[in-house]
Amino acid sequence: MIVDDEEDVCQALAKVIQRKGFEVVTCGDGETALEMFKTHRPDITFLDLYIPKLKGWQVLEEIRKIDSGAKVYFVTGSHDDAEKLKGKNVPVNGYVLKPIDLSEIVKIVEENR
Amino acid sequence: MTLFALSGLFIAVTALTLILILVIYGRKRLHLIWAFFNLSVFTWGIGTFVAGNATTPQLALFGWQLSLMGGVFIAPSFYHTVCTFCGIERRKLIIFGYSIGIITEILFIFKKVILLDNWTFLFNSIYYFKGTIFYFVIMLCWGGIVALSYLELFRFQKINKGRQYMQALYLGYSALFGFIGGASAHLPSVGLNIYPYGNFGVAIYAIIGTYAILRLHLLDIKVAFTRAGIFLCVYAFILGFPFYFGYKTNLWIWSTVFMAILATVGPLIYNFLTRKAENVILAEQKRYQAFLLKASDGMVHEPDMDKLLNLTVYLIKRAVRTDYAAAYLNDAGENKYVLKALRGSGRQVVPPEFSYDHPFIKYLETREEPFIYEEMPDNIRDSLGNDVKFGLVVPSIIKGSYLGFLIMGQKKNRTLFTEDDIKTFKILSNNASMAVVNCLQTDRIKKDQEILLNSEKLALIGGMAAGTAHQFNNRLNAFVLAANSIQMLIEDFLAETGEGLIGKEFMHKLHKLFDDINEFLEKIIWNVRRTEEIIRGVMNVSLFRAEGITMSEFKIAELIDQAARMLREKHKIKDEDELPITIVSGKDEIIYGDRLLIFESIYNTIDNSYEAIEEKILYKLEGDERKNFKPEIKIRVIQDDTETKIEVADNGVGIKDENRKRVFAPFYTTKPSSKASGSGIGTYFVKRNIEEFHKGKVWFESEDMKGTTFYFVLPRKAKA
Repeated sequence: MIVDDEEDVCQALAKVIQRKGFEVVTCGDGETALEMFKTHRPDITFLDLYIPKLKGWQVLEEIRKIDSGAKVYFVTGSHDDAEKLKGKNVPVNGYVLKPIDLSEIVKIVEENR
Repeated sequence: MTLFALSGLFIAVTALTLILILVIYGRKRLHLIWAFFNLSVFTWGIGTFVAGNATTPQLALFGWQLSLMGGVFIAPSFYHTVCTFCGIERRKLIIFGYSIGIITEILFIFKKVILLDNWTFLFNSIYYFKGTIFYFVIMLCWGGIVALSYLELFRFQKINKGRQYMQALYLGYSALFGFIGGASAHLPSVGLNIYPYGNFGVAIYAIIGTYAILRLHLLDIKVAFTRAGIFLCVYAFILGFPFYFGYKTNLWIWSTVFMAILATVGPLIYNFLTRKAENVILAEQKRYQAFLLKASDGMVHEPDMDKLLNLTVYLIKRAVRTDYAAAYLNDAGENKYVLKALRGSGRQVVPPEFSYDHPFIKYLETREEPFIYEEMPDNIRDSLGNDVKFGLVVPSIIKGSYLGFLIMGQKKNRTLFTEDDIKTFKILSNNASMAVVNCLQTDRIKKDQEILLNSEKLALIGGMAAGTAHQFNNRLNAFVLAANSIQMLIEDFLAETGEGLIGKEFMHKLHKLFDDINEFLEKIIWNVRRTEEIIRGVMNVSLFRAEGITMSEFKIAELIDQAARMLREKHKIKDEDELPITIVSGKDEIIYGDRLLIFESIYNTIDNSYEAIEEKILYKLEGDERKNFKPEIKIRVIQDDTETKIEVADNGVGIKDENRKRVFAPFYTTKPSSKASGSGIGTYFVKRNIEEFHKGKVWFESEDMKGTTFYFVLPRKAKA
């Protein structure tokens, strides 16, 4: 699942991941993301930090309640935010910093196949 | 004992006491010279005691000789005192005076040179002797020296003020008592048979003179003489009447009773009469003291430091009529006291600042009460220089900290700063200290507020910039993703397409590839264009630029559009219906103003409208009401020849009656603190931007739960 309020990002990531043989679902806000997680139970979720309705870390909290083992990666444009969240021991599996390097996305997807 | 002998004894005892006081407490050369004077007076006293009490002519002659041996030094030692007091050099004349005395002493060794032993028995009690020619010459010289002394005193009091002036007066007037009194003892010697009661005056003169020289805080001389006069009259009556009654009636018991009664009421009568007399004599002083005390109460309410200090010096100079009044304030950051306010002629005299190391400051910080110039040690006075001879210094202290001090010049009428003055200024200083503390706190609050305002402003700008930066990032991210994607497509194509792949299938794959590449290229082009628009928008808005307003003409619709876009980014609004901004009229109107300030005002107002709508939706509406609610922000632009009116109307939560007055106040906000945009500074800036910088007007109308409309009126550009 790819959650980002920028449609371009969702499309680009979706295309790349689909080429690797995965099914991809995308959405643009936190509330929809939660609904889609419940419905689809994706193997990996790429979650933008700043999205409408529910923020990234709020979505993560809810996902952890549903499935504590779900693989979730934050996507953020801010190094500071990433460092702050690391400091808070938020139970996320990793970070992808913007501008996104697609090869990194591919690597994550391959590692979790 | 005769009265004359009694006067001699009184003189001797008084003079001896004064010598002891001067030796113990005297600090200066002046005090020593005055002690020598009192020694001469002592000798005169002993001599007249012996002469007054003498039962034989020989003893009387001895007494008179002794009195003359002392008396002959009274004039030169007085002259010496005057010269030292006035700070003038008259060495030759002083030596001449003392020489006359020494010569006289020598001549006394030879009998009949000064006094002949022809005696007459006068007043049934005193032997008098005639003087020789030498006696008269000596008296003439003596008189000349006294006249010179008075000349110097007269010159001195003409050019001096304050304590020194008062001292000169005391010396001068009291000396008259002494010289006249002492001269009265000689009158019978020259044929004028008047009983020498005046001899008592010599003691009075010595007492008053010593008081004037030793005491730092002198009573006003008018007050001193008034009190002395009242004292004499009251107590002469208290003691004299019962005694007279008893003498006349022989009813001594009743006389004693009267004395007891009068002795009890005596002090009350004395105080009452003294107070009444002083109210008249010191009317001027009491007037300004009352005025200053009243004015000092009002000082605490003055929040502006400069105004407070200027007011203080003005009041003092005006009320007390001093040459000048100066106020210094402690500048702890620079380790000095700085002159902050000055009135009067002190500009050439008072220095602009005193460092903490200055001896005067070190002395000042040991004093908690007001003090006069003469109280300071010589080295401190020297450190100030000859020009700075102030009248009074009033330190301003609060909780042991020296906030500053006041310096006053001498009073124009040359009278002293009295004890009552010092009490008044102490109260004034206490009130001034509190007022200064108030002012310092007000200044600090103002500075803090300014810092806060500036940082809020920066935060506001920063918030806008952050929103823009986020947009940039997203656009750049899109470029990178697109480019990455192309690379991956190419990679995959090359990996999948081998040498053997030709023909239709190859062509189909190639077409598909180019379609995909094209799609990404379109995205790149679109994002680049969007980035250009954003950059243009930022440059137009010119968030970071130099101070000062720049007036220009521009389409208001452009600013509204930019503001709307930035706000949608800020609030993460995808759906335009969530922030529906409609320009109802005047879309094409051109307005005249500072683009940034107008943009800021529109941005803030629409932001407030959006948040008012959000608050209504989230917290005030429920169920169907919420579902059916259509948020609206309508903007109207109406122009006539002279002005442009912009209305921004929303259907949000509205402004409650109790909050109306504070809408434009800085830091006022009804937004919850959890919301990042709730700084409360926006509407303050709007008002300032439009009214202060554009000379326009801002107001609003609002109804609780119906919505708010903000109105801006801007003057149009003046036609050439």
